[in-house]
Amino acid sequence: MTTVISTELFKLRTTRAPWAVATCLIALAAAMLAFIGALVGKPGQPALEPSVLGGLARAPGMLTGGAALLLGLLLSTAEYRHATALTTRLGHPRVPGLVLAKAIAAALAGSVLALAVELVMLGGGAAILAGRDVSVEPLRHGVPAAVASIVMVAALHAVAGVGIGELLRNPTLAVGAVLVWAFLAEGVLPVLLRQPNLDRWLPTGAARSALSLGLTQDSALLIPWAGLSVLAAYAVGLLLVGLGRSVRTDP
Amino acid sequence: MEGIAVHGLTKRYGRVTAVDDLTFTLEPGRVTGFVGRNGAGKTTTLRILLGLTRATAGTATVSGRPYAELRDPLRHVGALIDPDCFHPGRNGRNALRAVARLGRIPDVRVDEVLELVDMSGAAGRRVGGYSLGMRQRLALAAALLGDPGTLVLDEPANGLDPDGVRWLRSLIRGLGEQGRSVLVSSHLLAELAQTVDDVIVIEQGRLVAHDRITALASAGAESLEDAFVRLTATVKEAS
Repeated sequence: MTTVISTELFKLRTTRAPWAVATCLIALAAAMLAFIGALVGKPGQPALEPSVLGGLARAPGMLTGGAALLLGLLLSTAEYRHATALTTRLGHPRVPGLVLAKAIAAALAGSVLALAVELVMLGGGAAILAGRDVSVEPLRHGVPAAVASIVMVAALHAVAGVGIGELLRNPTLAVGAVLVWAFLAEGVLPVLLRQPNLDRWLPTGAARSALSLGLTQDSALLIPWAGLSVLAAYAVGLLLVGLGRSVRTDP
Repeated sequence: MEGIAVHGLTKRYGRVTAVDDLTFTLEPGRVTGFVGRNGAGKTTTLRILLGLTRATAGTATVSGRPYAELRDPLRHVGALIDPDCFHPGRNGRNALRAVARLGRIPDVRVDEVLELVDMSGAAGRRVGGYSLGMRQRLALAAALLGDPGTLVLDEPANGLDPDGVRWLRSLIRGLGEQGRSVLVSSHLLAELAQTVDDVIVIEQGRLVAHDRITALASAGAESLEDAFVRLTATVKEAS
């Protein structure tokens, strides 16, 4: 299994698309940091105090999840788009192990991506605070919980991405389906089903709940561990559905 | 023993029968040509043999086992099914390294096979910039990575220039002389006649003939192409 995981990580490292995703995400995180850094402490904005670091750590949570999902999608759909699934299957014909290894590799890559983003946010945030003579307290104000939750959410999104990729196989279709789900279906479903509280049980709501780890409980969200469990259920469910298609269909 | 055995192999896609109760066994250490018209079932048979497609009925084994049950399959069987099986954004060396890692084959072997297929000079370039002939050579290199006892090559001469075809012929002959079993499908019958020891002819998914090339082509009095047309004519007329 470790051989297959390391091969999948090697594949990610040796193509440009994952690096482009990581670069874009880190650039967006840096822009977010600059924007928040410019606003904080201004009239009508949050005060410039040590707790700002916790907010900065949490700010890129959903964005990082989205990037990790894209990473997982790319890892699996690229195999079908470029027919590399053929050589992969010849090297490792046992499909369940292959898909599982892909999911683990994607989860690891997603976690590294999340840690890199947190390094930018916390490093930059610490520099902003220190530059304005505010004490830097990285182990307080929910910072460790924020980092942990973002890493877990990113890893689960990456696993879900592999599942969706294995299911749909076409990268454009897969990205389109994710966008339609996130920006349309999740908004419409609670209204259609007349269940206003449904959104917290849907993937985005579950991710938001998980990312609230270490914060005061928000009544609109699930408790963080429940959110994380629901998100994990979605990720595993999508992976199993994708695996089902991969087992049944020729590469 | 490194050998290929196909027994009662059948593959149906809905109402279409691509492979129909096909049975043959390859002798180890011989180069066997696998010939048939377009749609005769050659690629389907090879894909089933390599565990890429499921058979409706029958078995296809290498060294007595289905491909999916082989431990370290790349060390048993080298396969070339499609030259377009590499990520165009990866360079040639990394494309082979990805295959080698999966088969637990050391990186040093990657350079050896690149040398063998005369691609060392282009190994640092992205596969997307390769010609069809170069991609074919790279796919051959991938097939040779595990130094396998059995090789399955589907149309390996596609895209090769005359020098490349001559090189491929000597490579395949050399592999046979080393005691490896080589199953090679091709439409280039005149070329195949210079390369193989035995020939399997299939038509409409069924076995038409399996014999020494010398026996099939009437001890040299007839070309392989003429023999192919003669042998498949009966099946064609009957359908």
